[in-house]
Amino acid sequence: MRRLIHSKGFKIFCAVIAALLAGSVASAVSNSNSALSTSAAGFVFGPLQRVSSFLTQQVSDFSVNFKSSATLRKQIEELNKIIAQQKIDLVDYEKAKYKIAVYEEFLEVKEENPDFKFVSASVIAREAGDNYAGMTLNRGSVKGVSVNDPVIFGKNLVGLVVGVTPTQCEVKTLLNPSVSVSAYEIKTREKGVVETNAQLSREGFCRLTNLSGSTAVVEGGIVCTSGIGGIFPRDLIIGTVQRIVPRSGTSSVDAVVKPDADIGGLTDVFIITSFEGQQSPAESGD
Amino acid sequence: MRLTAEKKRVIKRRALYAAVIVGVSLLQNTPGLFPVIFSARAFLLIPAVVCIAMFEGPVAGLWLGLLAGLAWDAAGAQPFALHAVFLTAAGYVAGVLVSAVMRNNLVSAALLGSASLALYCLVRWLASALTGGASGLLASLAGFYLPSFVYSFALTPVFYIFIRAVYTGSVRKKRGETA
Repeated sequence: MRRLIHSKGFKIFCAVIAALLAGSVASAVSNSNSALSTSAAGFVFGPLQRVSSFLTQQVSDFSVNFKSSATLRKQIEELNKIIAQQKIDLVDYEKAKYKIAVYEEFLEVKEENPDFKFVSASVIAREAGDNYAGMTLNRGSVKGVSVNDPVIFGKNLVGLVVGVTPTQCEVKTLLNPSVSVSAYEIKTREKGVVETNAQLSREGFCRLTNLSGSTAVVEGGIVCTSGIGGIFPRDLIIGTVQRIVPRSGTSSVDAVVKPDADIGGLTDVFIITSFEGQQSPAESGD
Repeated sequence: MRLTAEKKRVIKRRALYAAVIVGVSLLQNTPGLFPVIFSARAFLLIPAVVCIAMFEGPVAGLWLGLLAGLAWDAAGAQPFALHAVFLTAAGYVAGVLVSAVMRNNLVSAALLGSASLALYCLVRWLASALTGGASGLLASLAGFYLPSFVYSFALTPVFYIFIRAVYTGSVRKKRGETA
């Protein structure tokens, strides 16, 4: 044991661990929420991750086309070449339609909220050990992204940025129990806090808490951000009420909410880097 | 200063391991690249680092573990260098144990791999308990961490056999040159 402790290898090991921990402490102090070693590694591995993500997308598209081709060839034998061509055109049309719909929604959000400043971003990684649909986006502090920036898809809130390196950022979604959003139900105007727990998160739900026992919120109600706190702008859609459940030990009830964005399947999102009334991370105490 | 043939071989071998680690990191962290089986995800870097450290010893094990950890942390922009610390320690400990206490075989790889995976899953599970509260903890253990542990553990022999093949190939080359 003494020989092990006095060995060169053990000294190197201790030095490396100490350096990593010092970097983590420095990041905590500097409020960047991203360890120094992680930021440095992000410079090297970020581009690789982006290339890998792009290639995977290309291979996946090729696979879809390949399957379509096989199906269409069968139809050509059975029917005729014209129908096959029309089907290919239809696939392109559907893809274009989807793209336009997504951009139209963003345009609508932009028109309704001229104070919003957006950065478009792609999901380049989903960390394997994260159980709550967290994602890494290909935009970082170089593009003006900072900690606590809201992330949206269309008019729907997805989550918020919790860690930023110069070239990428980490997002915690609404399905992460550590995320809570001040919100209200649009018909009844009842206010509460949207959060989740491990059980609800696994089912893909959040809950609007602190509703009174005689709440008028019913199934189908739409829950939006209230803007209180200055982290999220007002009136981003969070989701739809699925059911009302009693809160154990109190007279209040919770509304179980299903986020409208398909959080686990998103590939492209927008980050709101600035909006009227936004608080800086220092002001919000994070 | 000229490098001896043996040193060149070691450098080539470790460069190959570094490339393997980068490749495995991309495979693990790129969405849609490695199959997710019923919500279970493969933590491929853990068995990879353990198996490499078993053949290369504690010092090389800790450096390659550090590389793997940084690659993993970079995929998540983690606030703390959790994976870098964990995999550096895993690489060092596996290297020390095999050079001092354990034999280098598939059973040892399974033992060290399962211990590292279990420790990692336990740490992440407890961390999720801290942020997510007590409710649904068992569900997340049974629905995510245990299946992911089993899935990752099942791939440990693949890494061991591959690393052993690279290592023995390199050693055989050395013997051939000596003869």
